[in-house]
Amino acid sequence: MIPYYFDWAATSPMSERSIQAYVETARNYRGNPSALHKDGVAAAKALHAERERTARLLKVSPKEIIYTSGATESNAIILQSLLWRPNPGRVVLSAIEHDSVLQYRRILESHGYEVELVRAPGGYVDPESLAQALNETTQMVCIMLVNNVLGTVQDMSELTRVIRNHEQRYGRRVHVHCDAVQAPGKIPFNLGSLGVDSASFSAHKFQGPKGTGFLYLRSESWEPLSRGGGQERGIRPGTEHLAAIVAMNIALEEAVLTEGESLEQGALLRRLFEKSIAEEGSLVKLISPPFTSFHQCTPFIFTCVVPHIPSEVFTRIMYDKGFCISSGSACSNNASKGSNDLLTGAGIASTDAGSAVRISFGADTDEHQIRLLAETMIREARKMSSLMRKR
Amino acid sequence: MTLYLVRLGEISLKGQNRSFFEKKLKDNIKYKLRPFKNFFKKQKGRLYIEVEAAAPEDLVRRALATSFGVVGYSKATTCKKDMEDIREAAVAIAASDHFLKNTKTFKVETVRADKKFSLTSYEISGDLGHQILTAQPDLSVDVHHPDKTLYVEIRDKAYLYASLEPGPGGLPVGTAGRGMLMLSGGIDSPVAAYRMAKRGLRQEAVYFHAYPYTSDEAKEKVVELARILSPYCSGITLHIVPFTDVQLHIKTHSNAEENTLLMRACMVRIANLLANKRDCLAIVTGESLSQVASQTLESLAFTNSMSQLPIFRPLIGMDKGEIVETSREIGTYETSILPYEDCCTIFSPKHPLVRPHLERITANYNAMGIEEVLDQAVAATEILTV
Repeated sequence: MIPYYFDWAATSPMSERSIQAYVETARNYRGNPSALHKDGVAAAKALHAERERTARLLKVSPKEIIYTSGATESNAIILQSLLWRPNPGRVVLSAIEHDSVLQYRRILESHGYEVELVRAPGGYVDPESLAQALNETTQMVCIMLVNNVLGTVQDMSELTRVIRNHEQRYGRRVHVHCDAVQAPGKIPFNLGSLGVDSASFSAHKFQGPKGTGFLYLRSESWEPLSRGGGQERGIRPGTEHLAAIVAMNIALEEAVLTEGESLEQGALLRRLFEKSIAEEGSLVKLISPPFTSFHQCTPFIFTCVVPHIPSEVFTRIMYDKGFCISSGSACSNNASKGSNDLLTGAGIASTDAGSAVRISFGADTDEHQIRLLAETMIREARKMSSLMRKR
Repeated sequence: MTLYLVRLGEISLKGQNRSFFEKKLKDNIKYKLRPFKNFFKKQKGRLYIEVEAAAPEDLVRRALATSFGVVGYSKATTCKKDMEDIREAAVAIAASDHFLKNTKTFKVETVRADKKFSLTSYEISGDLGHQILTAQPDLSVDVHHPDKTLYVEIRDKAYLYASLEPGPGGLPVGTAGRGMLMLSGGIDSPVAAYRMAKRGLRQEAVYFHAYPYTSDEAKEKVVELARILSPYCSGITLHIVPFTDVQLHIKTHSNAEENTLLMRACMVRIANLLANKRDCLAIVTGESLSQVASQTLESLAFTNSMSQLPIFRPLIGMDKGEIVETSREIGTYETSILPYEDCCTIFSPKHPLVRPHLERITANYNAMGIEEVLDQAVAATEILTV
């Protein structure tokens, strides 16, 4: 394994307790929670208890928790439901959403919806632009809480206030969906106070298992596209992955219980990194906003630019030095794709977007690792710039 | 043993060199049939190959379908030159699923090379047609446009076969000497390799790897392309040249708009150095006239001038669509379009020089003082045989 892992926003390592919980549950609960026999009933009871635990940890009602395979599926359940509606209207998305939201643009448009993207200069959705995007036919608004590339945090209470005012003006409900996948453990987080109608989560972003997550949904009825055995109120049919759900709750509990301490440590490490690169001029530039408060951004995710070096090339160089960072784009020809679109949506210049690398860290990261990361990035950036200089 | 009858095309027209061509073809096929036992017998315009029954039919078909020099082939049955035996063999072939599939009409076509055989060709065909009609009453005879034809040849033995599979044609690989192919990860160069292999050229390939500016996936892709081409080329030796220092040297010692052309020139130089080392007498590229900036006539004139060896460009007059078609046929297309580029944007100027002035660009090439860097790259080359 690569010794220094700085790609926590892509996925985080499972915590030891989460792994243990997974193994124990998988071993001890054999039955299908929908089965009538004793083994099934035991699994159903355990599932019931887990739902209460998730709800308790997030201070919401157990009825509002729907277990899914993660945020991509949770987002899909919300967006796909629009396809059932007989009268398509307008859907408003922020320009810096994850692909699991943005990719619905074309599908919705092909079904008669009008999809409006709201600009997010510097990674912040502009409340005024949001207000302008809303009209009398608006049915849904999707806004990501903590941006996965820039680490910026939206002022959801302000944004939801804008939307609710709009509702009053037109007398029509607007469903507000929030992709909150990068929030737990990375900012002071209170789900209930967001004022949204639904939100998506993935366990593997907070040291739980991959392939598991949940949808927070306040509406009592919801028409999904999937059909099956009626599990999860029929909204996400399919046999529940009990072991993963238990493991997720253990990880969520750890994230919630250590939130204060962990955020403080995160802020300290972020400031340390920012100071280290600032001392070296513009070899490595921070394009995320500098960390000032948790209301503005999470310390754990940020994007830097190594000028003139394609993201992918710098990512490979760092990988060879023992660091996992993210080029943010899965393409291989250094062209503008993937997260570059997101950066462009956030108003970042395209020359910078092509050289952007994302750093993300977590609970296991220490000061030594952050110093080493900053030193290595600066050293390699300097080496590259001297190689490129014309002689 | 299973018998395959192989028809040879152009080879059979060769005069005194014929046995040289036939021997190469035999060696190429034998290599692909290993480890299964096989025996070859030559007759004018034909090869009779007997392959151990345990050899999977797919393997044998693939071996024949990828061997240049083979114009067509058939899986055949053989028996004694006795009408009873021949009838039995004919009825058995006509009862096979392969023969009956979508077949309503058939005919029998006989060649009697052994004129001592008691029946004439016409009589043999008539006799066997009758036998098949009796055994398969749903079939009928149509001598003009039959769905299937049963071929019968009376030679040293009787040979019977129903299918005529097309082969790739061309000349056996190895009969035209050896060339050095410049293999990128794109669509064109594998097709160029196929075209030249078809004219009998044995090829080694060179790939220029510029890690970390290009990814290891790009290199893996080229290795995979070489692997797909290998049966057509009867094996390929792949030279992976570490090219990063060369590219950095070019970038830091030239004008941006000339980067691409100077890089092509360096590639041609390295291909020449490797070709000399490996006894290759030509360079092969996938260039097609005016396809990109480095393939304009002026650009080609420059890169040509950097090569002591002739440069073969079999795709020079082909459209992209035609190239893609061949690439699909030979099975390289799906790999070629994988999104791992073989050149980083850092080294690709926004506005590359399209019509270089030969003397000026040659002078600029010489001014870079790059020969030593090229020698180092050649010395550090990794060799893979696929």
